[in-house]
Amino acid sequence: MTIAIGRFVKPNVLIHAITSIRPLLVFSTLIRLVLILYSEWHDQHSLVKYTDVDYLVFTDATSYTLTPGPLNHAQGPLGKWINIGDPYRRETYRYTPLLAILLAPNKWLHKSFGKYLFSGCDILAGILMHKLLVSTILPHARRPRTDASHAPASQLAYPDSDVGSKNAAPASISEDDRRRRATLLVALHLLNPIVIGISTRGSSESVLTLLVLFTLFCALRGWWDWTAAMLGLSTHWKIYPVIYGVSCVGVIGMEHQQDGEKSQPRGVFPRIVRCIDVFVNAKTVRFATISAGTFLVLGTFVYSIWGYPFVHETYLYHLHRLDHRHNFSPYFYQIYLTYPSISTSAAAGPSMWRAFIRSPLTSFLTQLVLSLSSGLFFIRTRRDMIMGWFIQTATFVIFNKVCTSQYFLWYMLFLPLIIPRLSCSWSSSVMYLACWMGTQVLWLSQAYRVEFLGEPIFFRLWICGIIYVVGHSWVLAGIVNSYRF
Amino acid sequence: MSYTKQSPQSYMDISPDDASVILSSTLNPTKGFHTTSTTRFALRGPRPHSCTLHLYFTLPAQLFADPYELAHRRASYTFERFGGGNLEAPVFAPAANRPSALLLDMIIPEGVDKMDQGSGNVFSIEVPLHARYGVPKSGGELMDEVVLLPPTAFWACPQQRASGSAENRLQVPDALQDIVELAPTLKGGASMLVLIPHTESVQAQTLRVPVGDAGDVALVETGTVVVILLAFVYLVRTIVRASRAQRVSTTKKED
Repeated sequence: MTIAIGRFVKPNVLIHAITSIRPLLVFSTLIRLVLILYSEWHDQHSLVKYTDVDYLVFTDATSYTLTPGPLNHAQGPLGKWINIGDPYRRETYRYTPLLAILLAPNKWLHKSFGKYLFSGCDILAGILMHKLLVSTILPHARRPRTDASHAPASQLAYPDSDVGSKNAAPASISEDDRRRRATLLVALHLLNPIVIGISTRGSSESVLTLLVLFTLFCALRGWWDWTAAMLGLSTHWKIYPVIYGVSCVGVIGMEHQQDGEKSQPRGVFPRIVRCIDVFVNAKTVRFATISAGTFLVLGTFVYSIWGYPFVHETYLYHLHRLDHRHNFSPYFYQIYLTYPSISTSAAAGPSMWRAFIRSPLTSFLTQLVLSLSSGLFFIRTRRDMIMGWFIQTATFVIFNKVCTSQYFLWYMLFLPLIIPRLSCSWSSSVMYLACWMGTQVLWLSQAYRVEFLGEPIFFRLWICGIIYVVGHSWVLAGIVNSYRF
Repeated sequence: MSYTKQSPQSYMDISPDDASVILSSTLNPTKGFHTTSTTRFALRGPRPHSCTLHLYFTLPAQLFADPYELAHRRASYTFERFGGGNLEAPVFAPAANRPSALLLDMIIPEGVDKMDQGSGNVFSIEVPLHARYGVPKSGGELMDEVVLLPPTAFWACPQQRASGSAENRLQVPDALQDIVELAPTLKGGASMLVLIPHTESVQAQTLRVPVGDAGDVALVETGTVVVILLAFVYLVRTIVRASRAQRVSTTKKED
């Protein structure tokens, strides 16, 4: 069959077609189109729906927003002057009202508009990744110099690398080579079944990943005002991108230092002053002001129309939420067994040890310290921001008190961008991938037995949550250790 | 509008040929957090035109119907939900520890118009239901048995004036009085409610739902914190080492 194809298509044309970005974008778009059309047919003919429940939540919220009435009106100070409904009348809608407005064509045009929008965000994210790889990442990536028995997995970025030769010197990469490699790496994202499934099922994560990618794009270009504004917008959309602000401030501060004194200060006090100067100087203050200002302006605008329900559902709810239902995080079982209003735990009264364990600070501090400190200590240059943001996001997700499959997308989007800087053998890569997927498959198999077969195996499911934390931490550590500066 | 208790004689007078029954009401599956209640009807006798067919469920606290899910079944029925509380809360949360009720206004499928006395016309109504997390138990079988009573079906009809009564009173069988109290809309639209009996095979259904083991608290709390802290230390160590390697690498490049 290969020979038959070769008769009609020249090999180098075929390779060029395969690794050129345009065919990849077209193919990725077609897959998503087909799946969205299929989802409409599937949902009409099957009780088990293809479409995510969240999509129905967004769509209902949009309906509420666009059809105000006596019992459905925006509750902000300006809400009475604007004829607009309240998306928070929809139970479990915990997003910014801007999402409900963005999906207005769901009501005006077609109910699947949102899915097309989210899939379009996927494609745009792919284009942005390609630009980053071609212009910023690959030009500074060096070919690995190892022996053939430990051929690095980053051959994906260097398919023609002569890794068998110990004398292979690091060489610059030609423009064509860069584009081919960038396309292969972007394909990891655009053709990833998880990414495709999340968007075509109607989850809105791709909007946020696009915002985060654009923030990163601006940061790597050194467009700090734009970075600050995009960071404010991303944080308004979902709170977790605020952690990237720390690394941005760190990089701006480092660059400010490099522009200033070259010599190391002597004495403790001068060093302390210099350390403070890294974080508090005109540029970092400007960055923080623009970022916080954007967040506050957006928040104030939305609050003025939709009032306290916006603040509570979008932000405050996440501070106090108790996710007792099973999810990847092992915290779920602890929350379920110690849920407020269970008379047994209330009557017993927690000891100091128990109070410490159950304190939200205990879980929150580990998550906060890791996700912020990795942004402060790991990132020294602009180029390292990609890896830094990956580590920050991965630790945030692993140590979060709730975790569903969509959360993995938050850090998976960085993978095509960090692979060129990873020096990792094929066997290690396969092990990491197997561990990453295997821990999820293990958990899902037990969760299915609890939820759909009604088996009382909550303890076993908790053990699977523990294995998930251990396994994903190990994988993350392996990726960190294989990073080449 | 007031309502009066209606003796069986009176409502049999209104539609003497109506012999509709509920043939069965089952849950499938009978284990787990998600199930579907399927109620089969046999409509017999001349269809009482202008009457609407209703199905009423009393749901125990541990079961709930998702109104957003039911809204997608509008081809089969519309509904009113009474109580139910927070969809996401466990049964022992204040927002979710009370029974609720579901009143369906059913759309009789096309083709089930001509009802003869023989085999009757049979159709089914499905209602998806979900279980909340139950109170953890200490030892024993870690399952809750959630009992769902058979639903109540009835016609809501405009009153016939055959009795010559000038009064405009809603005539309600004893078995349906609670429903009328709960759903004022029935009072406004109908004048007579006609109970549809069920066969003897229609019994309460039981859904078995797993619960947690309260005895796991100490181990789970300690185990979770220990693993989280160990993973935290492990990753901090890894990141610090990588950070030091980066500093060495940067220093070498500058040299």
